[in-house]
Amino acid sequence: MIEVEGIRKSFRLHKKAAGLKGSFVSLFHRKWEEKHALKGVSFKVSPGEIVGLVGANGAGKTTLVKILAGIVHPTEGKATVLGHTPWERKNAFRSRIALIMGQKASLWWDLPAEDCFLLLKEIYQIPEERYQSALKTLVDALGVRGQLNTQIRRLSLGERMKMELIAALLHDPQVVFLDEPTIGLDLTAQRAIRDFILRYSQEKKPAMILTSHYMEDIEKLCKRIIIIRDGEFVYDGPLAKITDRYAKFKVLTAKLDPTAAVHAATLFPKGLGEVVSSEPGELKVKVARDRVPEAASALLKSGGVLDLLIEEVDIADIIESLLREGVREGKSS
Amino acid sequence: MSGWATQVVSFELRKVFTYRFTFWVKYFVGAITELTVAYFLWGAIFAATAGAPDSAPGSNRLGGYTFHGLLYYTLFATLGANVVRTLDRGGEISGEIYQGTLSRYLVYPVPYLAYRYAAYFGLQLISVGQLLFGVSVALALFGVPADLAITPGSIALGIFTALLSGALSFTLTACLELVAFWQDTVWNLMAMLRFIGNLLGGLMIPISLFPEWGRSFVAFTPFPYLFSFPIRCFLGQVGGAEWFREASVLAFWILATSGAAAFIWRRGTRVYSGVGI
Ligand SMILES: Nc1ncnc2c1ncn2[C@@H]1O[C@H](COP(=O)(O)OP(=O)(O)OP(=O)(O)O)[C@@H](O)[C@H]1O
Ligand SMILES: [Mg+2]
Repeated sequence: MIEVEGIRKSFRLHKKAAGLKGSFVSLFHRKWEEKHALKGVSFKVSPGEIVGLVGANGAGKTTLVKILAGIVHPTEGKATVLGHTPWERKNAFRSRIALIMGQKASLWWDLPAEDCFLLLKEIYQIPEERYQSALKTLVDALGVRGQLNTQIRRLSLGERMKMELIAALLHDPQVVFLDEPTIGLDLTAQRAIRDFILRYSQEKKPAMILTSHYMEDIEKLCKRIIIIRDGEFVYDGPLAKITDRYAKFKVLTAKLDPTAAVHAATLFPKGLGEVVSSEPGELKVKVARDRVPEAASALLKSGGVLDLLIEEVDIADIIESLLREGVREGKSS
Repeated sequence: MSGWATQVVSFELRKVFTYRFTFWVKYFVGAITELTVAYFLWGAIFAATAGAPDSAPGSNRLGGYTFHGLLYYTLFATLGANVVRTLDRGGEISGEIYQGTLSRYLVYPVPYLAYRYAAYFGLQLISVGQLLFGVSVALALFGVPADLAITPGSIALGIFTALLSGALSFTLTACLELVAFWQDTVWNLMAMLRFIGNLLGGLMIPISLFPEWGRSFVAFTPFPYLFSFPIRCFLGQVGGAEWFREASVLAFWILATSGAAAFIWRRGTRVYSGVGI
């Protein structure tokens, strides 16, 4: 359904020193710089799959989504989505995909949501009956019937986002790109949108690519994740594999007496586990399950520990540390 | 017209009616200012030439127009220009490229420039309504001038021609706006086009007042077909055969400029980077 092979994208930027002088100089002499946003990525997505695209700011997630939605031409590489090359922008392609961008309003600012939907009905040539039933299902699922006649610009961010979702899904797309659909929303709205996306995916089975900085989105929605760092994929595989690898461990957090002038990390005997973080008032260590009692008592015996907390490894922490350090195959076990 | 285009046109109409106030203020202030300026300007020029010994008062003409006639020229120039290039909403296309909001239209299965033209056409229809209103008021108050054959037929032909000229204005402007794919600022290009269009299109003064060489020069540019041609239709100065001849030149310019716009569009979307998300 989505097939990507060796996609590269470089942006050409001209660098300009700050201030008026910089502007003046750049009039005569421009320094061009290549910014490699994607450095040759390949992957496939099948129908019904939701792939989570995870990465730090500037990693290239949005750029990849833009290329697959046909907005931007790649510098190099091949991609087929629904049998088409996205950036040729054939109508047969465009009428079967949807793009939802959390940071960007795509609906018509001055019009009530329902008018926007009517325009989209014409743009996508949705037959009246299908339109009515799709609209009803989506509006009920997201609970926004009361706001249908409000101008888009008067809606709250969460309400608008729900309208954006409806607008994007009215035409029953087979491929859906969601770029940070929950950004800036409160927890209730985030959950509502998450649940909605999950149900939609189970019912309609489109291929979905989702980016989010909220690990809960990824955890709840994606069985498979791609971790992208500086334009390169550092992991592409089941989320469970990462979880499993780390589920063999628990995390011990020791609250320390900040006045005791011992270096926290030295409290913990090496070989028992791995120090995750070490700060003046707190020490975090990752320990294999069967050695937790041993490690706990070692910590307590060392003195200076005020409190001790033992928990499961948080998936968000795992992914974050992967983002920071990359995937170290086999090394952590 | 396909369904979405009809919707877009009707949206533009509705949008304007939500902003009723600016809609009428822009219209009245614009029209009345231009007419007042024209009244004093042409009045002074006529007063200066009225001293000539063989001219009976009220009978002297400039480029074939009486004072009364020139005021009507200005009226149709002002209101007709609104039909041709609408209520001055240039900068939409370049703005969308610059801000990256173009991205959403690239995802929709409709040609972007056609979408924009439909919106433009909606605004043109509004300007037609305003023109009919303004012209009716003027004719009721001041009557038809002796030197001009302004009739319902000439007004209808004028409106039709102005809508066509609008297509040319749209494609011409689009060619410049699309330069925004490569350049951050295009307003200077557009301001230049606007000024040249006003001058060479006969919006400021009728082309018949140009010197001979000026008239033959502008005949080779698209500009007279922007304003002068529809205005002369309104004033009943263009007969049937002449209309077809000039309209086919206008059609040629529309085809040429829309071909150019389509070409620039294809090149531009290739370098479009969808800034700002
Ligand atoms: N239009 C553009 N012109 C120049 N450089 C760009 C453009 N768009 C993105 N970039 C650069 O490409 C890189 C990747 O950007 P991208 O928007 O894909 O990041 P992202 O992973 O979506 O980040 P975020 O999580 O912040 O949304 C960034 O370094 C950015 O500066
Ligand atoms: Mg992004």
